[in-house]
Amino acid sequence: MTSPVVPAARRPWTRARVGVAAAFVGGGLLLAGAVTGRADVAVLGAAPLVSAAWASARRPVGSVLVDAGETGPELPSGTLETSLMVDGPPGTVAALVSLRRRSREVGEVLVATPGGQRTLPLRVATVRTGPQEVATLDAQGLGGGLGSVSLPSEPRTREALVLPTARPLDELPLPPRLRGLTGSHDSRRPGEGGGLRDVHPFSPGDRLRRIDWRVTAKRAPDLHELYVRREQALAEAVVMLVVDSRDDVGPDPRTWRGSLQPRAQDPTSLDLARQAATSVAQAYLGLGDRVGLDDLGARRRPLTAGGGRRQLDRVRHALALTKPEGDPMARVRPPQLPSGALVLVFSTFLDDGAAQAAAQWRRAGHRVLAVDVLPTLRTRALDDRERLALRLIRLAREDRLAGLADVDVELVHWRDAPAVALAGLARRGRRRPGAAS
Amino acid sequence: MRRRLRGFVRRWLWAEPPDDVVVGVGRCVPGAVVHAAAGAAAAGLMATFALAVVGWPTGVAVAFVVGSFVVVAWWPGLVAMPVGLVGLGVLVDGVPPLGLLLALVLLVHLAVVAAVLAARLRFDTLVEWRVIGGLLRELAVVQVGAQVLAVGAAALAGAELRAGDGVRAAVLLAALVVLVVVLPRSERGEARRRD
Repeated sequence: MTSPVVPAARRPWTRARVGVAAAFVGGGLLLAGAVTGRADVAVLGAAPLVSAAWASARRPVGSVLVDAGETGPELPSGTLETSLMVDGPPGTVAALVSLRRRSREVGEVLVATPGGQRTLPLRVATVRTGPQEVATLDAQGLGGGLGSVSLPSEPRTREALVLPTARPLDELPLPPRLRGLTGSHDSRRPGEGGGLRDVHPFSPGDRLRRIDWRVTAKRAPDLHELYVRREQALAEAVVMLVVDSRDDVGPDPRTWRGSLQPRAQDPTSLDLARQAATSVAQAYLGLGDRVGLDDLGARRRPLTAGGGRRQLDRVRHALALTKPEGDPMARVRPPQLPSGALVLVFSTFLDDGAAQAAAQWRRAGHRVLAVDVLPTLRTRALDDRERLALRLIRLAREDRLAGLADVDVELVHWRDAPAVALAGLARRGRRRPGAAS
Repeated sequence: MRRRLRGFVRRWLWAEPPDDVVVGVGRCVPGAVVHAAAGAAAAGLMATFALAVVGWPTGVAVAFVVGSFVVVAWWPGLVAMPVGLVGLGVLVDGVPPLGLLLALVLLVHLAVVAAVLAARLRFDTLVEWRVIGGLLRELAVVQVGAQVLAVGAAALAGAELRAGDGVRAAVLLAALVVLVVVLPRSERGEARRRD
């Protein structure tokens, strides 16, 4: 006759080995005292034996579950806050919870679980944006007197989407051609709402309220002619943000192979690209311009240019979802962009793809800004061969950037005071042709 | 060669700091402290045994005490060794005085409980103080009975009663009772209180 198989979830927890060993020693002392008639020896083993027996009698039955609470989709970059929940069967006095992030052990904590359950706040500091793992948790329950242990729980992973945040920018460059009849920039065309264009004799079609009576009184006191103030029309800029999501490299070149993960506290190139694109989008949308988004690394429909607060939300969300997907895609030609748009290309320029696209857009007549989002590199831990390889990559990259400058693509390094560089480009764009530089 | 060595040292000394993941637990003790406490309990047991029961020369006693500390702090599972050794010593040496027997009973149990806890922990594990408090309370509950039993056993075995032994036993029992009352209640007690 065979004994019925009891499922693991219904079996009492396993006795802890150290507790069992202590019980054996206690039992041995008790036995030795009894055999030799020495009550003082027997009593030495009584307490460990009683403790082990008490712990064994209180062994819980069932499995331990661990989970992290929901994190809202709208999380500010920097800190992820959630909760850690441990749920064990009655009799669970403590749980040993292990935490991992990106396959790396980040901590272990032994917490009390009164009543078998416990909910604890869990805070994860991160400088990364986009979809990411909050933590992977697993737990092992401990019974009364820590004399029994459960099977480790199933690991649970909680993920969150961290939206990029913007940094303030002051002045921004504008495209050579503005569009529309609304916005906050002065157009070259006459219209309404902009700055003073000129004072002109009244002609059919001019509105009466445009008459400048002071100028008229000065120039034609007998009112043989009326003068009107003519204003410039308002217009908006169309800005296309092009993110190169094929690369996501950290500051340590040893992680570029992919076998090592960048540190959690180091923003990668894609994090910088997301932050840069969000900052630029927020600044342009705040001026009433239209902003669109395209991705050089993915074959999907671009986010068409639009304006307003909701467009900023759309851009941020699309940027947060941008990540390297599979093998880098080879493009035959760069994506088509609205005519007259200002193009900002956010890339590390570690290969020719983004540089070629930027050069082609410039040749097509767009004003193109190349935003270099390669983080400040950390070369301290590199050996000689790695230093040599990095030097070659840097040389090729510098040649690439110099080639872009030759075809009149303007360059901004996001790691060194981008607001100052963008303000400089904005002033350069306002300069009239022929003016002294 | 020097460059290669320097690169190797840099690579392996370039420790990656852990992610900043914070679990909002109460007051905590690092696992290393628990390991040290387990070692200290075993060393205390061995010191009491070596000096008071056996009367070894100081050098041998120090070697055993330090050895017990290192062994139990590093491998808590080996706590059975000093406990077994102490039991053997008491068996061979004869009935110890009452005060010493009470101390040995307490230290044996304390070393075992500390080792059971330390065996589950890495040196960098954070241990919530409530867990340690709960364990100490259980230890005190068992010790109340064990100390009463030890007094009875000493009387049965004809232990030598030194001046003040009775007071020591009374103070120890009172301290254990206070521990039971003061330390956090067990899970069952909390559940009953919530009901």
